[in-house]
Amino acid sequence: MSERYLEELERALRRHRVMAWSRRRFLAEARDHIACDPSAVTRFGDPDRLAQEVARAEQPRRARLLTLVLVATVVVFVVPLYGIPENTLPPAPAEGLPDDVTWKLDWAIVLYGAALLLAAIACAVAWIRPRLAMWPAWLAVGSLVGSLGLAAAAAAEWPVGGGVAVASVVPVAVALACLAVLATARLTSVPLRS
Amino acid sequence: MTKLVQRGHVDGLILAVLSDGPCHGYAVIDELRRRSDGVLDFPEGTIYPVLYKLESSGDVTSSWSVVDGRRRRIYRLTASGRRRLARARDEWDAFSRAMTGVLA
Repeated sequence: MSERYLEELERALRRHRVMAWSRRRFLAEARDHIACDPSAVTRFGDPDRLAQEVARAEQPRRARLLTLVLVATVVVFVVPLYGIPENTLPPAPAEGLPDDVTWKLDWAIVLYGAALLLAAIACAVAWIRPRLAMWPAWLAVGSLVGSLGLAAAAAAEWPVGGGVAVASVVPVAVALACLAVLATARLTSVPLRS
Repeated sequence: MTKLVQRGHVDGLILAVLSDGPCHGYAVIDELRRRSDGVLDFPEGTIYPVLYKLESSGDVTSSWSVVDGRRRRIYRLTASGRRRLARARDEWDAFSRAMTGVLA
């Protein structure tokens, strides 16, 4: 009976997206407890409700971890976006850029700066008030996506024969956007309010 | 008992048990039962999530250890947990005095 209960509990923990190491630990602890007192299996209660409680209990830790991943992800995007200041700012500003491209590049940089700042704020808030950390985290993801979108659009409209570095934004951004999607998917596992 | 859980006194009770020294989940449940003469008989399904919550918020730390030949997860109070316990005791004292003042 206890093994069947533990199997059900494991499935419930997976269903409630409890982190892998936390899941393994909880199951080991429950197994140990039931081994000492087999009657305790009934006192653990409904696996689904228990898994839900465990998932809720680990939210602060999850929020801290996710915001750290978010900061790292935003920092990694320096690589594809570096082409913008490299090609637009002194000492070697690009000449004759159309206005359509210029404003996109400017805003891409502004939004990237905002994303970095918001990610840092989310990270700091996660240590003090984890429940509130997801608001700046989501805004950081939004700013990052906006920044990449503008940079990619600018690269696509870049005059032929120039801006090789900026043009490299597209393939690298696509590859790294996978990271952003992954981070976003994980962020959804922490409610904005609980 | 449900009201106790809802009001968050379980957190304070667990912190109080751990303030006497590190122990594992099974011992926490046993100690709560013993100290309250069986009145506080929390099920495992209540205590473990609260222990996880306390650990996640930094009031408790834990590590694996071998006790009586068995591997156990041992929980310890942190400095933050001690501060939180002091607050819980203050709140309970105020609440208890107020109730006594009305009921006595």
